[in-house]
Amino acid sequence: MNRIVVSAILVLLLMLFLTRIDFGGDGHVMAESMMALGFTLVVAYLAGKMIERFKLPKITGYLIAGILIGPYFLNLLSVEVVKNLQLIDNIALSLIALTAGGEFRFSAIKKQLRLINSAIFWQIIIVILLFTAFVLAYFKKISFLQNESFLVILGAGMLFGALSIAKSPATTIAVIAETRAKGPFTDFVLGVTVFKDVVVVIIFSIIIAFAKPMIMREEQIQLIYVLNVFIEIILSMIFGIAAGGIILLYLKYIKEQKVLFLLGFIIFCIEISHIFQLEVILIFMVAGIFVQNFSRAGQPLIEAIEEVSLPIFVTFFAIAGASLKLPVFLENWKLALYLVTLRLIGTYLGTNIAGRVNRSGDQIKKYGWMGFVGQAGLTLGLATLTLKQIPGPIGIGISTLIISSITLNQIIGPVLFKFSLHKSGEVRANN
Amino acid sequence: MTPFLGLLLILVTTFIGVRFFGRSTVLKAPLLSGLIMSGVPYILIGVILGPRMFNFLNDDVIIHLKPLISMAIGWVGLLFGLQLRWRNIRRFPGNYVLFTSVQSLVSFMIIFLGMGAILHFIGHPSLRSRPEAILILAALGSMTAPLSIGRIIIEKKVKGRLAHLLQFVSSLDSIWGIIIAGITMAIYHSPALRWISGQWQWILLSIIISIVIGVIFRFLFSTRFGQDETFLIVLGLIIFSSGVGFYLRLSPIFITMVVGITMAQFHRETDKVMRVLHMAEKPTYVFLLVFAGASWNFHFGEEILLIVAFIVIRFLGKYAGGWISARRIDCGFPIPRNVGKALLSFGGVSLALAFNFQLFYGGFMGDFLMSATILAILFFDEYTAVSIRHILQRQGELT
Repeated sequence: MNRIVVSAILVLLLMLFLTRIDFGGDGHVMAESMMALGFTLVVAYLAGKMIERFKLPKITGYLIAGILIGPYFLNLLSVEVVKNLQLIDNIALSLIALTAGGEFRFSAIKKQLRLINSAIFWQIIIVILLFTAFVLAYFKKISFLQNESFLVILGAGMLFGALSIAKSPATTIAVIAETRAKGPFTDFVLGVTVFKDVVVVIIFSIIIAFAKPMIMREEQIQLIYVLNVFIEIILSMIFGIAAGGIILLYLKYIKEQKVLFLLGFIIFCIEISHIFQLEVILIFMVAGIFVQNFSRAGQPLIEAIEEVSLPIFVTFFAIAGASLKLPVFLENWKLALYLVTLRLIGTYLGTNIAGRVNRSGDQIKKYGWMGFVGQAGLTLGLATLTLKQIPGPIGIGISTLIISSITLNQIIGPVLFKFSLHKSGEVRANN
Repeated sequence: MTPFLGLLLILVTTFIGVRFFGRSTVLKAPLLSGLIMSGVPYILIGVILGPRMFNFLNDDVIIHLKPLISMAIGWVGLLFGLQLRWRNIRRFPGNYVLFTSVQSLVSFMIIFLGMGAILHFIGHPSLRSRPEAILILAALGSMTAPLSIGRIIIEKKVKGRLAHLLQFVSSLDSIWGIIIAGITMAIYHSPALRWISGQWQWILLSIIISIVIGVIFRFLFSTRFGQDETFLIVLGLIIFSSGVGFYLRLSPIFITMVVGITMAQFHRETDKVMRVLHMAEKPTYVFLLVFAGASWNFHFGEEILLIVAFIVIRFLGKYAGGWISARRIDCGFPIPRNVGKALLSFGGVSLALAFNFQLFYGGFMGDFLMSATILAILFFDEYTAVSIRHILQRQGELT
């Protein structure tokens, strides 16, 4: 372990020295981005190894390393470099979604289907109600809502709720992959994560369709927006099945160079999804589910992904850490803390009620909620969409507060989830 | 086309290339085997996909994918450096190293002087005024690719001292070319920094940084890692060290080679890294070839005579290098005087060096070096497929 610490410090010092040499000129950012990518990969991974010693998940180490080397702390990765490196986000998310789908076994989920649906239902209802009530009760403490009408405050409250129900599938998958957890508790969290990802997008589109006219003082509710989202989801699912079919045929008949094939195919699907405005995450989740449940190629698929997933996970989470907006968080930390607490309470209540209604085991009632705390890309994407749909101070205010709370949720989320997996006794890796 | 789609296209080509690269069924025609093994088909695919023909891989895509090229260059450099384990080299007769160095440096001098004279009298103005282009051209021309020799030795199960020597020379003689290229890029470095202005300081900086990176990673690799962890760290090492070269505008291939040499001196750790590097050797090479074809900007009228001159002078240089070494250096057995004809194989490291030059300097000089390298690969790999057999047959090591 000492070697890892010393190596990490030495690489850090070398990078500090190198970034002090500034040449400027054309191609400089590209060169800096490349150097930064290699540096991030090594340092973040070593940070993950170090943090593992304290029984914390490695991805927390990657995230913390990202925050430390990012633009708001040591500034070894500038804002521009972070932006350049975010280009791999789509590839990383696609692989993560494929893994999520590939780990999703109907046979295992079938027994818990009622519980999963119930948990999603109660979490959504309770979180949205709690947030709306909170905003209605404390709007005077929220600067951008102080002088607004009841309808505007109600719309904002609903949006806060809609944005808070989203969770990070990437975090769930990364922690499950790291701990090699297997069992009903893991299946429950995975099931909720996969289904909720779809439900959240639908719920968000419905709520924004209602909240937008309330906040923007428009007369008409834009249901066409909801319809578009439905079409997008259905098309993404169809495309996901087709993608799964192609992966399946490849794994069955060609087999060679699986990693090269997967990377190429993912890039192809990302491009197609951009052209037809489809949901990349959904496409690959469905593709993974299809391969796992309608063939025997599920295991080879997971093995092929595992060959390449570690560097992608490390880079993805480190860059996610580096892109967390610390100044925004520091400006709004008190309100962010309220939002995080409220979300924790809502998630706990939702999961606990679902557990009681379905007479599930104590583990799900006690620790199930801990699997749904992490927040990252999806929430960030929805917050950006909010800003786009509701431009002006209220849109900015909502997205800023949500981004601030993502910082906290993403740090505590993996820790809580790993803890819950240990408590459930389903962890198989030697940590 | 977006850079992502461009990458996809190269990935698909690489994928198909790796599947068919070296398949025995396509190698049955002896006349074509040299061309196929040298990777010429992938260069041609690159040309077809590139801006010169279908423009799928347009200039914008090529610019965006340059970091990947830098990474592939780093891969080549690290792999080469890791092979230079002193403990292994020492096992061979001492004169093998001398033979390798003399033939390589003689070839370098002849190509440098020959091309320098031609370019001085008839060359393009932009080439005449930039000696670094001639130095790098001579450096890459002095290298021997081990692929053709290795393939014949394995396929025909050749056993003999000459075959052994040829394999040794072709595996090692690129070191001088890379060192010369590294020094050249440091000497012609611009712009200068406040605290690094002298050319020797740049040379020193590139060596020190490479050794520091090598020592840190050697230290890190002494920890026990799983295979996926080793893969991650090797990937990080390559991207980081070639990124450092790219960032400091020093040769990435030189930096990664020195990193590799530093690490190679520690037995156990090197083996782990080598295994990972070998896993991606073929895709990396095919990727380089496809990309070379796509970014090949051939100025036919201006370049063709110069390239013919380069091919002729390289032939003479290698021949003379082999001739002098065979006459002057005693390797413990009679070496044919025309041994240089078996050391003409051209490929991977030279191509990486030409790319390195094009990445940094671009323009007509970069295009010329790329054209010279690509056409030389085409010519020499076809030629050596025959010449190596011929020399080994005459030596009685191949029937």
